[in-house]
Amino acid sequence: MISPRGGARRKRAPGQGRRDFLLLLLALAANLVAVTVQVRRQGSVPVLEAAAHAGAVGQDLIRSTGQGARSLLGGFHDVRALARENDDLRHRLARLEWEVTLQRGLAHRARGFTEFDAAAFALGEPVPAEVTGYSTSPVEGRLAVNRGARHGVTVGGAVMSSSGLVGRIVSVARLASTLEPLTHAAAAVAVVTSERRVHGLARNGGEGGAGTEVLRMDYVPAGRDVVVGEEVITSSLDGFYPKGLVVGTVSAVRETGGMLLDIHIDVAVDFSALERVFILPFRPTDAPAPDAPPAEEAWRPQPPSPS
Amino acid sequence: MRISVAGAPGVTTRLALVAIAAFGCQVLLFPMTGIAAVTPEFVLATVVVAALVVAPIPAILFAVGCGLLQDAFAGGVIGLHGFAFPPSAYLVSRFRAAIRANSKLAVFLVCASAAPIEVGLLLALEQVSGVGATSPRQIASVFLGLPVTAGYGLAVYRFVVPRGPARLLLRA
Repeated sequence: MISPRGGARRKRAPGQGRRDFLLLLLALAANLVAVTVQVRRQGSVPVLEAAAHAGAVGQDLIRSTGQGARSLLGGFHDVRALARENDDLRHRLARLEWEVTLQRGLAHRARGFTEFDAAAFALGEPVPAEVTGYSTSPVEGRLAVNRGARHGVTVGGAVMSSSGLVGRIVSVARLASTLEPLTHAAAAVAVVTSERRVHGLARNGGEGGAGTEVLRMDYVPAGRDVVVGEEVITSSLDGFYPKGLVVGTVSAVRETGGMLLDIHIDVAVDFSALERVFILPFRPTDAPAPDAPPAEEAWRPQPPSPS
Repeated sequence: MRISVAGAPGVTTRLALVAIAAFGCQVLLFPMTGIAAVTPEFVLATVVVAALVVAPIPAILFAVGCGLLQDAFAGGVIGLHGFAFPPSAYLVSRFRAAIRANSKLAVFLVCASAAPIEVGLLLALEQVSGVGATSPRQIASVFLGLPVTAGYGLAVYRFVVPRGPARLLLRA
């Protein structure tokens, strides 16, 4: 009965055209009746109403099937759109956190610490990263982040969060790195109190161990003016960390009767809830910045590099 | 002389496939794109292509079936498209001898002209019976979708009636 294009060349049978036209009229009439039955309300024939009702049930079934399939496809489409939106929001969050960090630095500078080398903050573009967990040995107390050499991370790079200094990178793989937090037993950072300029060395001191979020500030001579609540920032004297990064606040100052003060520092970073960090490119603090801007422009926010 | 290859889909199978694809585009995919200003008539293009390649009676029955199914999916009054599709199928099958079936432009124009006929019939039915409420915006969207409708019809025609070596695979 059906032949591709063959019918066009085949000679038409006598009366074929009339049969076709009659079929067309029949189809039109049937559809017209169907439409009329569905729109007629008063004085309709019960049998036709019943037929219309039965047809409506079938139509509802087909329509709901189509809507279900459409909803399924739409749901899949929505999930993909949400994933894209989530990625975009994460990136925007990273930029905002970095700007918050820089604004905090600006606030320090506005409070009068202009003697700090503002250019030390021109560290180049930070690499946003996420903490993916502890390193393979939880005893070490080191953290793993999801950025590595491929993203420009180098050993020795300072790691920051929006709250303050986190630590530094100690090993780098291609796609991941390990960072040593400030609270690590082997970690130490040269610090200075932000207002009275008292220098010292902040380290775990072996009292807490991994997970401890209180540091000791060692080598502070007795008689120096250190106040509880004062902010402690990096001094760059260790050669690893640049100046001005927030470490924490002084939580306790005790006279030991000896030559040194016993000072405790509450770390600014909450390591138990640490998720997003910024890895700064490592540059020895005595080396000039390769592309350091003038001191007046050093505080201009630099967006993080796209991850 | 036509060479048949066992297992190759025939015209009926190909038409069934393109009809499923047309309903998928018309009912499922295209409404999700949100392009409200353009409404291609995928099903109508399939009906026109069917009228070009099969005999008139199957073409009219195919048009009625597709129209009723589209009405069922659309959720409106059943019979509107069942009324609007068959005349296009009849006209195309009636004059297909005059249409140069091998001409891309002819198929393109036939598919493009079927949509206005359908819209005209729907409007006429709307005026007579008071069913439906076709807005000028909907009419404009159908006309804006004419290139897509015609392009889709041409692609379907090339699928159903392939040219070149692929034509040898078409089972008679």
